[in-house]
Amino acid sequence: MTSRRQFLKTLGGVSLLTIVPRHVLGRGMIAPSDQLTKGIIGVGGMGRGHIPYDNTRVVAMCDVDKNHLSQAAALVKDKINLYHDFRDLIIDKNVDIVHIATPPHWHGIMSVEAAKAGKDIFCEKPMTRTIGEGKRVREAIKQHGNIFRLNTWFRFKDQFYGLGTPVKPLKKLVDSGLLGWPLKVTISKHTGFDWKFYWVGKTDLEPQPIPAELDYDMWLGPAPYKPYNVHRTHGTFRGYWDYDGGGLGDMGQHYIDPVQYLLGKDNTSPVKVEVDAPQQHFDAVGTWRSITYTYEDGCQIVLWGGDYGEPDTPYIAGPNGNVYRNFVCDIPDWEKKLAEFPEPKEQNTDFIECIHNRQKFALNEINGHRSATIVNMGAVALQLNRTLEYDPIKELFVNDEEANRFIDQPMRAPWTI
Amino acid sequence: MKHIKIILIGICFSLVAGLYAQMPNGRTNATIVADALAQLPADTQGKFNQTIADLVSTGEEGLTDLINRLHAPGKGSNETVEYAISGWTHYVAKDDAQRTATAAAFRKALSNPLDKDTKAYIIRQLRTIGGDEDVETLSGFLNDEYLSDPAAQALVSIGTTKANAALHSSLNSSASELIKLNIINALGQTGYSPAEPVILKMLNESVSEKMQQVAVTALGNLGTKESIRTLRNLAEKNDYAYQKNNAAESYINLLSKLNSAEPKTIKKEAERLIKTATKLNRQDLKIAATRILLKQPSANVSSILKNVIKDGNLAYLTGILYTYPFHNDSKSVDLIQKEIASNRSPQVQTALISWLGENPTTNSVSLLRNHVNSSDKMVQKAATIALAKIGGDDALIALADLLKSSDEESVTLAKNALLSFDGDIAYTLASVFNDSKTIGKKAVLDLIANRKMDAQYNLVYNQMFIDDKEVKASAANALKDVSTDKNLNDLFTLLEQSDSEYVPAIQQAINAALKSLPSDKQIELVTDMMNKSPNRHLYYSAMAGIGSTDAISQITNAYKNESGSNKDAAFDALSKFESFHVIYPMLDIVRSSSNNQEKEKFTDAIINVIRRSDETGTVKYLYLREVMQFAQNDRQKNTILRLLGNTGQYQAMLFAVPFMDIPELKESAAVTVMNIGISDPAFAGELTTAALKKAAETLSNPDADYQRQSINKFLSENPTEGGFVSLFNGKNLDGWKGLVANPIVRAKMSAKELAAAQVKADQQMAMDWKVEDGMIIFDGKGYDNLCTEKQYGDFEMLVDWKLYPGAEPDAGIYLRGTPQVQMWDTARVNVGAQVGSGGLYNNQVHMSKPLKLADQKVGEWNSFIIRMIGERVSVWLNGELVTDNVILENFWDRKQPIFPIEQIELQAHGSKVAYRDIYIKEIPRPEPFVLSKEEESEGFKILFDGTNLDEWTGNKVDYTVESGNIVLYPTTTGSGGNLYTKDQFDNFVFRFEFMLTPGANNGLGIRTPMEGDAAYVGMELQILDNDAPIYENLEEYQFHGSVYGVIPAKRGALKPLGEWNYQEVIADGDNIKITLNGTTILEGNIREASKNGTLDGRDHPGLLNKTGHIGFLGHGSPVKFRNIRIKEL
Repeated sequence: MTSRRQFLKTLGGVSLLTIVPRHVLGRGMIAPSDQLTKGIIGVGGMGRGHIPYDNTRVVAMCDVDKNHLSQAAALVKDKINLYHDFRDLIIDKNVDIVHIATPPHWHGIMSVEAAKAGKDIFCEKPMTRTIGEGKRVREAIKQHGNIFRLNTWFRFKDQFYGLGTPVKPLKKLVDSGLLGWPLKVTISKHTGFDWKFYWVGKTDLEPQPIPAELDYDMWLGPAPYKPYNVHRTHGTFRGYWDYDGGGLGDMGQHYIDPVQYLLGKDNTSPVKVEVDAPQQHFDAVGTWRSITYTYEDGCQIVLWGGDYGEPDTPYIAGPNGNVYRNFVCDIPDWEKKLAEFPEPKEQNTDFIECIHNRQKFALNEINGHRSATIVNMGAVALQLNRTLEYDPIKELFVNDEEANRFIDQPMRAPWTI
Repeated sequence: MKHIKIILIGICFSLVAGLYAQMPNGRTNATIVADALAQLPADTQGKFNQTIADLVSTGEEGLTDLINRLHAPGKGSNETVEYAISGWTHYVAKDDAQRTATAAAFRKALSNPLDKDTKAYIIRQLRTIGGDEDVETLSGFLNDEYLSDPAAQALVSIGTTKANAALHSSLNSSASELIKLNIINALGQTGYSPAEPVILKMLNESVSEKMQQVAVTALGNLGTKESIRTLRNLAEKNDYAYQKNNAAESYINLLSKLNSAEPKTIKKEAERLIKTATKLNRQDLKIAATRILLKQPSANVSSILKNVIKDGNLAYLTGILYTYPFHNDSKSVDLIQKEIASNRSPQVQTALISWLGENPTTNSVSLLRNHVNSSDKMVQKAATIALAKIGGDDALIALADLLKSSDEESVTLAKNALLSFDGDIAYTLASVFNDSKTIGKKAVLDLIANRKMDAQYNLVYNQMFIDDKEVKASAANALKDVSTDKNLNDLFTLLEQSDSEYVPAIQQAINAALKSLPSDKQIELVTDMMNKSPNRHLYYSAMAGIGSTDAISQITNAYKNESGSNKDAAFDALSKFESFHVIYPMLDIVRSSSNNQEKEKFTDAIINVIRRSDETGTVKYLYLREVMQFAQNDRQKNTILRLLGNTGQYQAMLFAVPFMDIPELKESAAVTVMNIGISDPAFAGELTTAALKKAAETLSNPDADYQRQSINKFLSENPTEGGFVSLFNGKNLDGWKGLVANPIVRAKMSAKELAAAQVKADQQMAMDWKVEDGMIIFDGKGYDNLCTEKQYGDFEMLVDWKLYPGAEPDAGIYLRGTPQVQMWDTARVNVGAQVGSGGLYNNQVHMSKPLKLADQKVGEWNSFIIRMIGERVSVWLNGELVTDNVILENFWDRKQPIFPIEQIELQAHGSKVAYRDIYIKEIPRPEPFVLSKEEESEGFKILFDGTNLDEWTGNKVDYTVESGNIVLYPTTTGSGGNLYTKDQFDNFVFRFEFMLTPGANNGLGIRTPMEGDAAYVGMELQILDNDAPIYENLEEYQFHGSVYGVIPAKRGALKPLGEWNYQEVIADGDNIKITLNGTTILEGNIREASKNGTLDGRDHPGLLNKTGHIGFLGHGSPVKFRNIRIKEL
């Protein structure tokens, strides 16, 4: 029998029927040689979580911290290839899928490099650290025909935080039109979302000696060179704009991506972002009170940080009704009314199947880039401390040269995207 | 506690409009910079704009001042200065004149000998706002190993021809490989083609891997046709495989870039690449090359597509299909439709069908319906999904037909497609039902249920009488979605006749159908059916659905009296009750049960009732704590502990503390302690600190480090001492005493009489009151109150209490020896108890009733928060505010106000009552300031005694009275504005105390009008933390105490931050004398000092005013003042 690995390489020459359907064998029953393989880049806490994903087999790992690499390798029984330079992992012929679980400042470059090598990609959120990098990832995938999956999933599975429900029934309700239009979606503690403001950076970092196990230069990669301090790196990097965007960077795409889906905005972006926040430090990420996004049709997404916002705010507010935490709707008899409407269209939620039939995964480089754009619009507005207007077609800020220089940020040699 | 804060903030914000900030006019640039630094980071955008605008007004001088304050990393704090400089950069970016001026100042600064990281920081400012005029300065850094990277990046961001040319020209002269890398990398990002020859040359000469990577990538971006061959050769050398030098990608990138400029050359290259890639079986290369062909102006789109389809590779085909708008090309659309109809490979068909689903044409449905029966699963799936997307009657019929299939996968595909099918599908579903097999019928029933098609009730109902068990089960499940009150008779009959396996589904259907009737009708109907039925238990579920208290007791009785499946049915029904009241019978059962299994079952049920209820956190805490004693295992205990963490109840935190010693429970307990402990600053104090520290040691989950950070943050921002103390040790009555008469009578007794009476009273107390199981209990016999040994003035008290069933349950808590916060059985309507507990029962003038009924049932625990400040009392009962800041009248002598200080008493009122967890926090009461005898005799008058601002006018929003002080928190304006005396003063001795915060700046205006800048229209005596690092560059006439700009004061007499300073100002004619903490820091004559011009070289028109107001002049910093008095001379 042709193995899946060979199949992928000769795709098209062999009939699909020669492959035993997965459901016949059942989960976990796929022979190892038929299993798709993956290599994981970045095997700190997040990357180690990727080992069991999707019933694919780990064959390679990469990290610029020797300790991380050896600790993670010990978690896998099989002998696997270990790399220091992620491009060696990408080149590795045994790797079908490249998993990217590094800090976000690497996501764009690594996705593009994996795309160049014709690999399929499983990338952590936030998809990219700048809007410009997101555009390049989208283009690279188009260029090479890869299948890309972003690792947040609330638009198609699991209870969606404080909503006490998966997103699907919410989508059905929004699509039904019962709530009216435009809608305002509020993401706050009161609607069940916590912004993890412990991801704040420190100012006045003392330069420290670089630990022997860490290749700091490679860890920084495209980011500006700044003297090493342990707080910049493992576990706390989210507190620095050079690598991520604090609580917004960490949770933003988890929370906002399903909203883009709910509102049907997967191919567009808001036209305005307003922030209410203490002034941000140029290096260390701080907290904020609110970030408000407005779309061209008047729909809004409002993020409230910390305890801000009103306790009784609906998650979705519309002219004809509201949806509150735990999926409480104030439209009389709404369940009955809603039942008459069709379920939302099915999404491609089986990544492995997507790889086989080359269909886009439910959350891919196109809609993923759009939801990451919202996170990054917020990050720019926070740093500049002003309201920004955005052109969702050109994907540029309007009349703000400085803000646009945050969209495309030059990279430190030898890295470009 | 929290509500109050929110309201206050609301008031402040609403006053923002209309108040103006103090303008920086008249301040020196150094002062403006220092003032701004003291206010950074700005908390709001408004304050940011105002503060940075002030800063920007200082121009180059200010910016240079700021830059000079930057230290090398690790050599001192840059934080505030970085906020100032970056803020400045962002603030000016949109104003071209200010932006260029700022950039010029940065350039100037860069010419000074600064530390390299400081320079990098400034260069990065230019990266975001720099322009052509900065190119020269930036290119100057391209020879520096450390700074060439930021400088090159800044030039990339500037992105003009001049910037690009500067990068280009510096490339030849660059000394090291690192610098070359930086510059080539930058040039690559600009796409500046004149740099091509030199990069090509360097590529040919270098063997370094990094140089290869950077140069090849750069050529891909900026190259011309001159680079094509080089890149192609490099790519070919490695069979176009991905490699670190990026050759294949750069080659393709270059072809794409040159596509429109060099169409013929590029076409040849692309076609050649397709051939090679086909040989190499590289779909990604084929896609890239084909896209280049498709983008050619003369491209024959359909013919290219035809080749792709002919190639037959799925990855190639999908890659191309979704990157070009073939739907705009009619020949391509025709081709796709033709290919779908033909017998291509399943992969090709799948790809094309999916595409058609996204881009349908008029005949798409007829084309696709042929494929819903395809033997290839992928094709079939693609066709069903495409049909569902396209919609319409024909698509619906095709999908419904598929339900008749005997192939399970086909039916599932059809069902999933129909679930999301837009429009009315009922009739079509019904029409295929009879012709469908079991799986199809099940699918139809599921679809009917999903859309709650009432009209299909009969179809569903009829299936309850067939033999096919699978279909029957689906029908039973669907009943709840299609039944209405019209069907109730049917359903009751069905319920009595059906096999037990269908009973739960039918019960659900009955519950759903009952919902459309009014609730009295529901009870009537169900009770009637139940009474008639030999199978009463069948109706328990309906009773539970109705949720009335009547229904609860019926089911409870059934549970108690019946056995076997009837008893089980009753339990199931009880656990499904939506009303919180069901907790009472459940508690009764669990309390009297001796069966551990039963206890476990009910404990779970009770936890669920609490979890899903909307009760306050306090009520949840009370019952979670109650049910903890019945928990049978660690799972239940952990659940209870975790839920306690969401209650926000102080007592819940302390309750959880001991569980941190039990290994199986310690993690849940620690998380709970943390959640509650850091949730409210009002909880801060010794007990909370100890609990939180223990939690920090205990926590060991993946987030523990962050949790510890949160704990440390809370402990560093809040008091770790004081706070609530326990009034009851849980073991005995230490700290309590018996009651001797009322406070007025006691006050008249001699010490000896009182002592003797106390001995007797204590003996009585020992008989009346006892301690059991951590509770203070009064059994209902005896008659005297239990009193605290200590007396209390202002305080906040927490106490849990419970009345026991019996005759006339009644008790109360005496505050300052006076009755009382009422506790009674709300069933006692004859005495008016239905209003609830927590009112000030004996009030006659002021409110005596609670605002709302918040009592728990007699026999269950309640919890009070009682706050008494001055003569006013607030009470929260079970988390609800029931007494809102009401004056407590003096019961013992209604003519006098309540005693300022007295004992707290637990009332004995002839019925059994228990108390536990009594905590109290004393609230310090500011004593009004009084003049000393000397000052009084000298004729001093008090302007502020700690209680009110009656003598003052101006910004009373930002200046407020807090704990006996005037406190300035600049919230409505950047500066905080000014607070003036209402009266005017000419010659005087003015004495006051002040406390500064780090970097604080304020001023004492004297002889000033209320408009304008007091430093000039009157006189300003500096109030300033002049030792703060941000004030390094002060002029001496700006030191604390100086007559601003006119007479300098001596530095060095200020107390350390956080301590009060005492200052005396004597203004007598032209003579000013200031004494600070006993040191004379200024003594001078303003006329003399200004006759040859002032020190600051500015006009001070108001300096010699005869009279005017005295005022505090805000400069944006929090400051406190107290004990203010004046003597006029």
